[in-house]
Amino acid sequence: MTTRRLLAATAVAASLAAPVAVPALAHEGHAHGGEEPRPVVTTAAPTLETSSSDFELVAVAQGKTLLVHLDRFATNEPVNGATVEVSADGEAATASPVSGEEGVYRLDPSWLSKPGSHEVTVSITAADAADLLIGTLEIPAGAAEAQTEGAQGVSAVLGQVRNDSGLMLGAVMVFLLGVLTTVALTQRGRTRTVAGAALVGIGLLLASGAAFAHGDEDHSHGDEDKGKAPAAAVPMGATGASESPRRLPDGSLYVPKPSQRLLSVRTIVAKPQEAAQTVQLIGQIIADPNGGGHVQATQSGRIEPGDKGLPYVGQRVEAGQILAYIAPAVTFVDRSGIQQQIATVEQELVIAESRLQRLRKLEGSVPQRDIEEAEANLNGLRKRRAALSPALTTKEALRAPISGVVTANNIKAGQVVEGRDQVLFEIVDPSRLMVEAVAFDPRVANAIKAATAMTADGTSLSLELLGSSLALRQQAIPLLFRIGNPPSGLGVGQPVRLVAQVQGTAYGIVLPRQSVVRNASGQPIVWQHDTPQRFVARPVRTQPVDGNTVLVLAGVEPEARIVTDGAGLLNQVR
Amino acid sequence: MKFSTLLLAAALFTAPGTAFADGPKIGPNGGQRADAGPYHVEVVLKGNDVVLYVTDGADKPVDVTGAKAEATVLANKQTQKVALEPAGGNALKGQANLGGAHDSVKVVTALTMPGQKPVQARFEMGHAGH
Repeated sequence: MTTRRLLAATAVAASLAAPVAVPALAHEGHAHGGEEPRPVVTTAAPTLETSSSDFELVAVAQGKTLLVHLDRFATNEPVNGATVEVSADGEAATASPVSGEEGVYRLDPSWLSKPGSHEVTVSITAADAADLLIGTLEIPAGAAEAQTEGAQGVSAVLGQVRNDSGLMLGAVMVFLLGVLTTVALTQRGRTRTVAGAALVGIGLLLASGAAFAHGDEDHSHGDEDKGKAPAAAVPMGATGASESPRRLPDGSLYVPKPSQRLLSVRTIVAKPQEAAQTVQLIGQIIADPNGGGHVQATQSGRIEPGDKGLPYVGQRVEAGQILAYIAPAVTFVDRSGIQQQIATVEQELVIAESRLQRLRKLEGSVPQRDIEEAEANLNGLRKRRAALSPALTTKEALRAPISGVVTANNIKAGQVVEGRDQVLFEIVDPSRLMVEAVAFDPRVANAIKAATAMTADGTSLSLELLGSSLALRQQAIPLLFRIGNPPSGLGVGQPVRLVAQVQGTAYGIVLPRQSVVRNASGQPIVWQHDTPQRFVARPVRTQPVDGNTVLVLAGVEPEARIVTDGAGLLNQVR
Repeated sequence: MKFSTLLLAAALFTAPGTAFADGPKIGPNGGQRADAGPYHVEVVLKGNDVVLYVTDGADKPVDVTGAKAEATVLANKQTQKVALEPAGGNALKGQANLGGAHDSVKVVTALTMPGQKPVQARFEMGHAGH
């Protein structure tokens, strides 16, 4: 009798719990049956992913609309202006491009609201290629209902319970509680006592856990908000970018097509090739001796600005341009000496002039030689006078020795400078800069054929080797390179990192530098575009080729699609 | 007698192929072969004829009486739909306008066996050498 009651209670409790537990198991089995061991990505909307050697296609069913994202397979570039015809269930329709979105097409086929699996054929005609793609779009039975009528009744609650481990635990506890209560009410003696004690114990446990339970409730409520609010708050555009990129349990990334478009993810197909062996050097930018100039004064004096004022740092000056004047510094003693000399010369000048006039009047009676002597004397005195008079007023013009940019200005107007030692202006020709590097290995120095340099801000410079010094400087060999087509913004003295190509070759896959990023543990990785919306991290061993490219020696399979643009952004997806 | 010999030869010929699940494969009739649901299907383009051979997962011919099939053919940038009718044995046959082009022709077949859902397969002709 009692056993039967106990069985009945268990049966009732089990029947209550069964719909919760069993579908979960069934769901699991269904999802994994015969699938490849890839992480199952649960997407909010039914999605079809397919690709060929030309195109990659992701179709997302959103309500009654099918959005087709079309990209190039190799580069992940959106394909615009293609004719996309989608046929399924014997119904063919041409998708119309979504305005304002690149490579997105939409259509509203009637079969989309029918649950079940649909065999879809997509015919694509782009400007340069045409293709046929196939795939299967599974429309879940619940999806259409949920979208049209929203969650409803018991099935919705069960669905929620299935998705929430906390609720599942609750259901199990309710089941236990039911069993214990039935036992406590129906049994007698020792069994009843044990059941009652267990009930009291559970009651205490629940009371102590009340705070947590409340927190959980809040939390789950918040989660629910989080799940719903963005969809409502974020204006869902034509593409409905409601899903966000996320990291899957195996470390790969799930990046929906709209996010890929936002990050402008681009890929290249890995092709193994030979590249030169390289070494890395440290150097700095210096001015070409023929492309740099100093302006110095030859005598001491006071600075006076030129016609256009004193040149400022950064100003462009032309060769021969007057940058400043120097008014010679004449001491008081010198000045009076000069004035004394002028007075003497002027005195002699007057005497010489009157003598010449006298002699000219007596022309014919005095020897011609006397007259010529007097004329020569007078001319000489006039020249002396002319040479003396500007000594107090003439200024020395300081001219730019080369065309270029003023990089240093060490003077101000009115400053008194000493001659010789002081450099007043420095001028550098920005089109004639050089890079000086040091190599510690003489074999490297002799083997270098070409090099590129990278500045700290990522500017790449192509370098041509001019030569290496025969004299060691601090046990290192200085190497001199000329910069071909120097970009603007380079500064003398700026440190640069050189990648010099030496003799010998290496075999690997050449990728742009931005492809290689670092994972959480600092290991260099590249992101491989595995399936249309999935990216896998591949640890790699690399060697620089030049400033912009690296050679991947290991870690990437040939023909793999490796992310170039947007790799850094993908790397930040958590 | 002769047919069974042929069958045996075909089976022997395709046996190593089953080991390699990936990539385009050549079927016993010299066309490309692909998976379509539980079946293997093979497409042969001959002149303007499109012939679809159906075998099961173990490459045994499947009787296609009562089956329906449709081929979508992309040739010379033109898409055309071709209905394929059972043509005895495991073959379904139809007529397409290929214009003599057999290379870089893409074919998608949708095969509906009696009482089953349609299954699709995709072929790229002229890429067998890959």
